[in-house]
Formats: sequence, C-alpha cells, structure tokens
Amino acid sequence: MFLHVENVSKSFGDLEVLKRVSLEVDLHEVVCLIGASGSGKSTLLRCINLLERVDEGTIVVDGQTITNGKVDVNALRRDIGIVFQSYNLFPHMTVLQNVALAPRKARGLSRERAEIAAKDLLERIGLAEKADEYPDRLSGGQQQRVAIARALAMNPKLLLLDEITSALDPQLVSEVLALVRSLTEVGMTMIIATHEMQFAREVSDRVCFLDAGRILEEGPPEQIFTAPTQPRTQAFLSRVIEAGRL
Amino acid sequence: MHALRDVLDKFFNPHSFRLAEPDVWAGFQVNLKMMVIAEALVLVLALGIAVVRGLPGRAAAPFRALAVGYTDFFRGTPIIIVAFMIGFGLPGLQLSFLSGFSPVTYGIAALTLVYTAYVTEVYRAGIESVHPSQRAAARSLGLSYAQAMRYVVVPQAVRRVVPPLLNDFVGLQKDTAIVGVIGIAEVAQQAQGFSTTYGDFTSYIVASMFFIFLTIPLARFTDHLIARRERRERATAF
Repeated sequence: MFLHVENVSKSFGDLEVLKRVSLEVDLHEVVCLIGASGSGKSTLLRCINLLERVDEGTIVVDGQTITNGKVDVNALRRDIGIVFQSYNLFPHMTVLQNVALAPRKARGLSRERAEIAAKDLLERIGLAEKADEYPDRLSGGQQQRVAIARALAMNPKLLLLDEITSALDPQLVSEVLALVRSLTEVGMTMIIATHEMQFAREVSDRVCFLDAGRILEEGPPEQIFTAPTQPRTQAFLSRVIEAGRL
Repeated sequence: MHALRDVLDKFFNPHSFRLAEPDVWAGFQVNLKMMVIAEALVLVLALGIAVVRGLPGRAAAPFRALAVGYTDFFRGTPIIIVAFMIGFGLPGLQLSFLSGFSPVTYGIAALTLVYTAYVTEVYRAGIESVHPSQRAAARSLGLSYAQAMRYVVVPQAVRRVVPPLLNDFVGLQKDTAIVGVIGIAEVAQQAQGFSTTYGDFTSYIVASMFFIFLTIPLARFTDHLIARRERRERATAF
C-alpha cells in the first residue's frame, strides 16, 4: 500500500473533526471522499500533506512515517500535490510563472527547463495561449486547471483534490472534471474530496463516505451509490438525489 | 492693504528669492542626500524586521521580542530627541566605531532608526494582509517557509503597501529638515541663516517649494505604478 492512514484524530479546539480515521490507498488508485460539508474530508486531505498536524494516529507514505515529527516536510510535500477549492494561484505571477515556481525553487530546476516543462503541461491542458496572462484574467475553470497543472509540475506521486469544483459556476465544472478524468487514464494516484457524485461514481475505484469525522462506509462506487448499507449513507445519498446531484 | 504688502514683501520678495536661492539650494542638496540614503536603508531594514516579527515558533520568540521593542521605542520617540541622542550623544562617547562621524551621517542614522520603525509596521500590515491560503499553497508545493515568504508572500505584501510607504517617505523627506538641528548645513538651517541676516522670510518659501516639487512627482509616480499593476494583474471589468 502506498498510503496508510491509521486511527488519525484531529481536533480544532473543542471540535473533533477526525475521529480515528483509517484509510489505505494503493498506487494508481482513485479514492473519492464524499459526505456533507464539515464531515472531515478536507481536514483528512490537509493532514496527509501535513498542512495540518494530526493529534493522534499515524500516516505512512511510501513506507515512511510522516506523523512522528521527524520527516522532511518540504520533501514530502514535493511528492504529494494538493489542489484547493479556491485555486490559490499566485496573483502576482503569470500562469507560466505559477506553474514553474516550485520546480525551480523546490526541485532546483533551471528557469529554462522549468519553463519548458511548464509550457508543455499548459499545452496538454489546453491553456498554452494563457501562459503569459495573470490568473485574475482567467475564468474560474481555467484558474483551477492551472492550479492542477501547478501541482502536476512537481510530478507528485499522490494528488489530493479538495472540492476543486465547489467554487465554480456550473458551466465551468465539466472542463475541470475532464482534466481530472484524463489524469485517471494515466494512472495518477488520487484522493478526491468531492460533491460531484456522478463524477465520483464514474472515476473512482473506491468511495469513502465520511460522516462526523468517521469513515462510515467504503466500497466500490457501484455498491456505495446503489446499495449503501449504512442508514446515514442512505440518508445522505437520498438528499443528494433529491437535490438533483446524482 | 498695508499688511498684505508687508507679507508679500517679507515672504514673496522676488529680489530675496534670487538672493536666497543658491544657499537654500545648496542646503537642499544635503537633504536630498540624507533622504535617498535613509530611504534605501529603511526599505531593506524595515522589511527584515517585519519578517523577523512574523517568524513562527518558540525558538524565534526572543527575536520577535527584540523587533517589537525596537519598533515600540523608535515609533514612540520624537525624531528630534533621537537626533539629539545620536548627534550629540554618540560623539561624546568617544568610541571609535560610534563617534567621529559627520553630523550628516548621524542625521541619516536618526532618520533611518525612526522611519525603519514606521515602515516595519507598514510592511507587517502588508504581510498580514496576504491571505493564509497563499502561504498554504506555496508550502503545499514543497517550498520552505523562507521561499514561501520570498517568492509568494513578500512580493504581494510589498505591492500592497506602496501607497502607505510613500506616505512615510514624504514624512522622512520633510524630517530631514528636523535632524538639521544637530548642526547640519541643510535647507532649513540655510533658510534660517538667510532670514536672520536679511530679516526676510522668502528663503523659507524657497525651501518649502523644493520639498513640494519633490513630493508631487513622487505621488504621481506612485499612482502610475498602482495603475499599471491594476491593468496587468486585475481582470478587465466583466
């Protein structure tokens, strides 16, 4: 297994956000985390690349325990990309500079090599002509695709996607999902927190339903979406269906 | 009518204007030198102290405390007191590394100490105004704390603080005339010399014109910088 999350707990003050969560992800696997807002999906992702410190439990990435405080945080994060709901592109840099920054500074690539690679990536995601634009001039969907390219530029072994379509206008969602779909085709290992149930059903190898800080149920997408065993999963999915999201 | 003629004669006398201009201009060149050097030092030092003030972790606590103490002291002390302390105090110490400099150097030191304290706060406000998610995004890519500051946070902070920074620089430029009290042949001293000699205050008008002619282009230049950035980085109105 590439990633072991074992009995991880995390609280913010009195609020217990994760309660002894365990999760295993293999290389080339795509795991979707579903569940209501506040169920702990984002926190779990942020714990995996150490943007949040776990209170208890262990996380092992590629054979290395990352939660004992001894790990080189920067080295770890170079291998685990994360894309946020709010894109978080750097507004003072062009699209190309956004994508090339980390390969240059964190991987030590020369500007030339980093920019050639960045242009290549932008070409692949269909945004080559936006390379010299500043992020604020792009649509939300384009910005989110650049954010994905920025994460991919580090050649991560694991990509974490944190509700990356939640801030987008509905008509912009599909271009972002298409890009993520193309990543599943090249075998990218991903953990995706999402409210796009149809998408989760289609791309994931496994779906985890989180409820109040616990993984209440997990299984293949067909099982979770058509025959959930837990009453709370059933209740969540029926609300999703009522809202027309599945 | 009499009073008006007196004012015009004592403050706006064309003859005195021509007579005072060379000395006042010579003095103003000293102010120019002091402001340029002090501003360059302030820009760099204040950024360093602002970054130190924001350092995370317990290990950095003494440095943070030092930075806070520095800004508290020099922001709270009138610049004329600082100028006296340095300009009269340090030469009196007779220490080779602190004494024996020219009054101009002491004046620059006083300006730098006081304005670094102000500008540190300006930078700090700028750094804090950059949303934490920017830092998180930088760190999540594997950049170190220092790299995230250097390439992501500080460049955005500096762009945001240009207008308040300019405001402080206008203050610094004017205060070059205050530190003149420690015996610098700068513009205010020259203007005063002229007015005591001739009983005519036109030299002060000449001096103030130099300052105003310096400030106005600086303000317009800043407006230009801000407008250019807006054009480049901000979306056109949808």
